[in-house]
Amino acid sequence: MGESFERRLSELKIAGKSVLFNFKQYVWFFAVLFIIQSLLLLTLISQQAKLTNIRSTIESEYNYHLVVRSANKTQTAYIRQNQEYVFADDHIYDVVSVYAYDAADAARPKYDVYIRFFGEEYEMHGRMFFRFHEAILESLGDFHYEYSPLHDVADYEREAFWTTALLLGFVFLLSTAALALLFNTRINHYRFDYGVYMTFGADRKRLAKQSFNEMTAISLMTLLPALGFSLFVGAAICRHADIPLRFGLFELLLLLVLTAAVNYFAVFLPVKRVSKAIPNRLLASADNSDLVLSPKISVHLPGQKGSFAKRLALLTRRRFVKYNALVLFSTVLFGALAVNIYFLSTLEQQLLQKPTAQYRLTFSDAYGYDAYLASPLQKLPGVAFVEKREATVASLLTSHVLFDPSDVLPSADLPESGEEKAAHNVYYTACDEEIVSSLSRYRVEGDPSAVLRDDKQVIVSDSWDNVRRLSLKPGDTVRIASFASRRYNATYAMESDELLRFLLDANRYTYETYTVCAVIRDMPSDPNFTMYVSEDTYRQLTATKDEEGNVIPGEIRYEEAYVYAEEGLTPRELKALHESILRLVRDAYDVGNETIAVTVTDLNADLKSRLDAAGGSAFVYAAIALLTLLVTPIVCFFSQTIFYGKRRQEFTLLRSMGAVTSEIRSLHLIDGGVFALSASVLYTILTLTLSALLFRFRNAAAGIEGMRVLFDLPLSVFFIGLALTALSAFLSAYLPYVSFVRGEKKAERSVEFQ
Amino acid sequence: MPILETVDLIKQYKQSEEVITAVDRVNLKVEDGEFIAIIGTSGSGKSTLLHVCAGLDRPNSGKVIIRGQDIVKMKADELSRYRGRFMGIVFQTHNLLPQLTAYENITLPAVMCGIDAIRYEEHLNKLIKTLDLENRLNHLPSELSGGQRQRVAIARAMINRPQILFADEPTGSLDKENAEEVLNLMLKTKEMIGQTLIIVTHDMDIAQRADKIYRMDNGVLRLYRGKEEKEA
Repeated sequence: MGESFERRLSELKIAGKSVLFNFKQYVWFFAVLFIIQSLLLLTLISQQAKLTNIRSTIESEYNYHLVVRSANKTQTAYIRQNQEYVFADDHIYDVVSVYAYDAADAARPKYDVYIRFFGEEYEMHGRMFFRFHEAILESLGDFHYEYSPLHDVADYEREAFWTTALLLGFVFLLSTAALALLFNTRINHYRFDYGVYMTFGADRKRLAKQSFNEMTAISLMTLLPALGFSLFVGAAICRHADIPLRFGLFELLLLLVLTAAVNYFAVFLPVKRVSKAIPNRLLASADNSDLVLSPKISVHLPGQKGSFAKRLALLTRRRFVKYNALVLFSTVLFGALAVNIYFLSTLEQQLLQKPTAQYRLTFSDAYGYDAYLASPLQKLPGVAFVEKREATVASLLTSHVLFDPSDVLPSADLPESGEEKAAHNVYYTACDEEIVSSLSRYRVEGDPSAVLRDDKQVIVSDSWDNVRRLSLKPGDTVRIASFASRRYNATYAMESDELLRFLLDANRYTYETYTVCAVIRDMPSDPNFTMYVSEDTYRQLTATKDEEGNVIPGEIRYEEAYVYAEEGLTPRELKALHESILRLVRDAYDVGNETIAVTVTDLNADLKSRLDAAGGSAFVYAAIALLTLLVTPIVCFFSQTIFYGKRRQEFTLLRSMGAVTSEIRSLHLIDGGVFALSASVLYTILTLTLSALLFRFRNAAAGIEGMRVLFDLPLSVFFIGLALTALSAFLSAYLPYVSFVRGEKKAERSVEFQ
Repeated sequence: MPILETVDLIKQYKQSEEVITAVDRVNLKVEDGEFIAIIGTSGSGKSTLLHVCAGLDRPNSGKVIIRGQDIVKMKADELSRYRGRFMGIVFQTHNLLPQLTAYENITLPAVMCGIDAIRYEEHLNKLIKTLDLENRLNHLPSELSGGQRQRVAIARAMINRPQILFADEPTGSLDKENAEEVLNLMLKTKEMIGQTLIIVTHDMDIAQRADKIYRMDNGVLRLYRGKEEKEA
């Protein structure tokens, strides 16, 4: 074992010496491995800080796991008495505090009882609490309960852990791709050397081991600088987020393991590929001749217009198509990825900045959200607005909506009804002033208040599954169907569009035309989209018939309301707001008996938002994007330096045949210009394609609980990437000319040895 | 006036602490239209001498006078142009551009000097035919044998009908029959345009056909056999 370790160490030392001796060859690997280690470490540090911050934040803000709300005196006393309950030597819970509030019936006060479950096994103790006490508490009266984030801290941590794992996994893949690309480029350029190694007995294992040792030696040399850089940046991130920096042995070991894995996977495939090549073919590649696309006919160079340099440069570019394609793709790939990483961060920032409901009010059967509560609720300090939701999906009403085909995008793929398109995945939602006001948080085109003045006006959201499906504009018309009668009876067991096609054929409908007064462009959506109609229209659409055939208009009853808090409220202010809401609803709906009319649930949106933002996610994304962008010039210059180095003989030959400096310069300028132009075009296409796919994926993955985000590609970052790509492409072809001329001048200076 | 004259030519290389004198005070005179062969063992400095005379390398001291001009004093661009117009070079290792076909490699010097195709077409066809390259014109160097590459390199050096042709082992990769044919072509062109031919070779059969034979030993050039001896 000791011998094996010593041998391993010795191999590493040899690899290290070889790398330092040929430093010029490996300098780009030093740069990339520094970037990779910095990327990995920065991600680790920021996510570790975020993970640690979750528990510490929640523990500082919550000292209870459960709150039993609206408990009566008996229930409260029962809970208090049983906190000393010991089951198999387990102390299950403590009562942290009891908040008494005045009920309408002074003889029947109500209480909120805050409970903390004991020890590390608090979840188990929570289950035990309900197992032993829930039935008894229910027998003593109505109550409801709510878990605090402290109870769910493990869920928060779990979610953050998987996000960290996903992010780290992504960075790992990115790092491996960057190093593999660089290593593959090296193998491509040094094919001749590998041909010699293989001629004299080197097999895949030996080649891989040698390469892996070299990469490991370089990684060890770049470790300290990467560590210094990452800790410096990480400390800045943590300082900004006001969370402590966390870095220790675990993080260091994890970094070493990840780096070793990156090195291993990066060399594995390229070495496997070259080890399968025929040595003779590799030996023939000393002058790049194997990179040339063999033409069927010769080009009559003198017959073409333009200078010889231009003709030769363009012909060369065409003939080295294999190499050019690879270096072009390598040059643009990481620039495109970098822009999209930053784009992803802006999408996430959009999601973080969208207002989300802080509290949910749920009304029991006999009650509903109405003006009685609405007015005082909206006036509470800290309330931005209240959103009430009452909707019925058209398919349940045997209804549907018809659109003009020109108002429907191809992605909608709706069934046809005559010359129109039909959809029944629509929520009919009754609309009043409050709802119209709450729509202001979306991007609305048109005048939504028109629906309050005219029953024939509707507001439509243009997407479902968070993808835009309708191209409606204010002023367009739609037709809403009401079931009239059946053409024939049939049983069916279909869903969705297939069902709609069947129903269009099996039923007769009456239609009413409505005008779209407003379109909502960025409403989050599930498989259904929303259509806001006037209250009268809603009653009409949801009307039923009794046994005598009399029409009974539908009811509008809001079973839920969502309270949105103002931006920038501190946790203390939010707590005060929560208590105000509780007090208000209890005063409004205290019916003097045991029935609970309204339950108020804290959705903890603010906490989630703060926890998401901690760890400086936006900053980390930006750092990852920037470091990824830096791979572009590294890969480009590395490849081109070797390529032009091998072509130096060519330029010397041209000199021998009469080429002057300006012609050699022209060759490089034209080559650089063409490369820069091609790279710019390909970069633009690749970046925009990836962005479109990413945007589509993110929106679809957001779901109804997420928010519809807008396509807002960060143009400044796009243009920085474009400039860097074009500049790298141009300079990587032009700088070899400078080097060539410098080399010539050096040779011209005679050395007086005699 | 000789077409080529070297005066106390010295070319040295430094390897670590050691200084190697590849060309040691060489004084050479080549008359216009002469055929000179330089023979010697490997590492004797003959290729270096050839490169310095062709302006491909700079001497440490001395002069290289071609057509009355000291090319050592010329600037790089001026020398390049001069080479393109008046010299042809056949390298030992062919040095063909890998991305150009045989035809494109051959015509490249003419393109670089801005000569219209019509002016060299007949000469080109003759070269192609003599060097047996008709069926190989659209092939890349990687698709040619060593001998074919050598012939392409020779054709390239001769396309512009240079006044001086420097050839470093031009028949090295060729069989005896082809080597004889190539040399005959070179001599024919020499006669046709009054070309001066300077060849570095191991092959004594080729060397014997030269007007003069010089021998290079450790950088020192000596006349091995003069013109009169040949005629004798």
